Amino acid sequence: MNNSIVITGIGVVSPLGIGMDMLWNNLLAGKTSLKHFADLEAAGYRNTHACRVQDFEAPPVHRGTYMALDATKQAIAQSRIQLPENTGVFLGSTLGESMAYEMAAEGAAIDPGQYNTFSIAKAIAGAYRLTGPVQALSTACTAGNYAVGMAMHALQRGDISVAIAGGAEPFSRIAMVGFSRSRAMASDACKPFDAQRSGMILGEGAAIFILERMNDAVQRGATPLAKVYALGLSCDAYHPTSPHPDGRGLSRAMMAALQQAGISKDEVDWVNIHGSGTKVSDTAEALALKSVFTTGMPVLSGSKGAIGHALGAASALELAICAQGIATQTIPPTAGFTVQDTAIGLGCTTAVVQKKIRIAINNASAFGGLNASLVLGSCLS
Amino acid sequence: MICHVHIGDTLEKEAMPGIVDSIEKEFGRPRRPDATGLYVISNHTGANASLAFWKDVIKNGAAFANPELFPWTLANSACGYIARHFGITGPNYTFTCPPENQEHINEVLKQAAEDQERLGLEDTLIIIID
Amino acid sequence: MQEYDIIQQLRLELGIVKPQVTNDIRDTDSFRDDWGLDSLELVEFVARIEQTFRIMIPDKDLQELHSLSATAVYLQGKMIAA
Repeated sequence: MNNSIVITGIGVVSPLGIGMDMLWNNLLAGKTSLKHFADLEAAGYRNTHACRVQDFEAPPVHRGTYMALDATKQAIAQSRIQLPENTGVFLGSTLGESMAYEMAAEGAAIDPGQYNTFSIAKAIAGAYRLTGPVQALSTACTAGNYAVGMAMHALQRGDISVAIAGGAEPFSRIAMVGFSRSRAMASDACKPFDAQRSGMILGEGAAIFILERMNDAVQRGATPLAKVYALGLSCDAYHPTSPHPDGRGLSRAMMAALQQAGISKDEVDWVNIHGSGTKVSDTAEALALKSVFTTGMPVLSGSKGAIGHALGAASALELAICAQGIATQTIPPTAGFTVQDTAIGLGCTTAVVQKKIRIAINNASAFGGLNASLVLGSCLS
Repeated sequence: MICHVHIGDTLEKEAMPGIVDSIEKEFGRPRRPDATGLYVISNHTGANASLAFWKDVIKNGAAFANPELFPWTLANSACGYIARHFGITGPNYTFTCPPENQEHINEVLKQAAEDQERLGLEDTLIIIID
Repeated sequence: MQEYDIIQQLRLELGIVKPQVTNDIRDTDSFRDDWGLDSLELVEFVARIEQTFRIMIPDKDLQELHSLSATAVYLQGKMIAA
């Protein structure tokens, strides 16, 4: 197990707090960052509720990059690592700096190609003068899981000894209008798996991790927080925006991840659901969970009621929550879930659960039919 | 197999039918779509749709914008379209980087080779879109 | 605006959203069941209606817009109310 890939540092910029401790304490207290925004109302948006990071100063067209850099700094500090020059950077985002596209459409002399996901990844590598591989994953709402999975593979192959990986997404007006006009947004709140759920709520943020091999971490006296075992991927190949209604894609992603990790479904203690809060997506995910966990359902929790849906950063932020939960053997409550949907037949925890967590899965699904399940494990013996 | 295709300034929604036709003519259909990995490398999939979508928002206002192009603003929409056309349900990646960046493309090839061995994939489709 | 004129405009918009919908569509045909419009096509169609008629249609009313004639009746009601 010495070659296990472990997380030794976590950095987050989230609507519920900057820094893992603040986010975690607010989550455990059952808080939500959901707010009505007057600027959205003034600009004529039909949906005016969102989860946005407050008190974070950044040039608007570099907001995602600044969030990613802030989270990277936090992760390095926690890990107490001296980054080797060949450290790899693996970054996921949906739209990158989407404001650049808005500005270009408004006539500004700006090349939006310089502001995409790759630009954020390059900025991290540049800030620390790194010469290792730089990968930018533009796999929409699964991008954080993808990025951490790619980092894990590069570490397992021995290409690199340290990886900076995660996701970043600034608040996007393109996404705000797009989801609103696609009628995918909740008018009030995101309620994962709840009977009264009516859609998603847009978020933003960044979560960045330091990953390395267990033996390296132990050797330098670092504290491994969680193991990263495997990433399972699949594509529904069904519809541009809707998942396959029976959840078969997400089911295959979870099974693939468990198979690659060599872990039985019965060993899974906790699943952090994708739980976007839309009728169709949550129903499909519930069916996927039922098809995998036939002999007993792990504890389920969802994060989007508390922090919104941060698109390309969503699964990274939720992975941070999973890693912290594993490290502290605690599962946070699910903001927004109050009444079980009989059509779903599954409930999320509404209370803080303290139990032995050996294995957890972080689920993510996205437009384009993407599914990505990341299996994590405890470093506690 | 590696395939180079061109979108240029054409809207992704309009370009993709021709692109999948040309891929199919040149390479045929995957033998086992459930055991095929799909890897798209591009620096600008989603960019044309993003610009056009936001121009519609400017013209009609946030409350009346047409969501038609919104799914195409996502960089992975092209990869999703290819997957649907061929029924490819295996791993589906969209990497953003300048398509002339050979170093980056080599990293993708490495990942594709690893997936092929680890997951037992029968086909690997790598598509570079410029 | 007469119901006939509204329906003609709706046919035009529908043909753009889903070219497979031909002139054979009857006024009472179900968009979803008879012509296979999926959720994405329906929201795009409704968005086009909103742009064309400059009428805001809330989510809760969407189920009323199931056919050409039903949509025309709904829109007429909205126009009178305005």
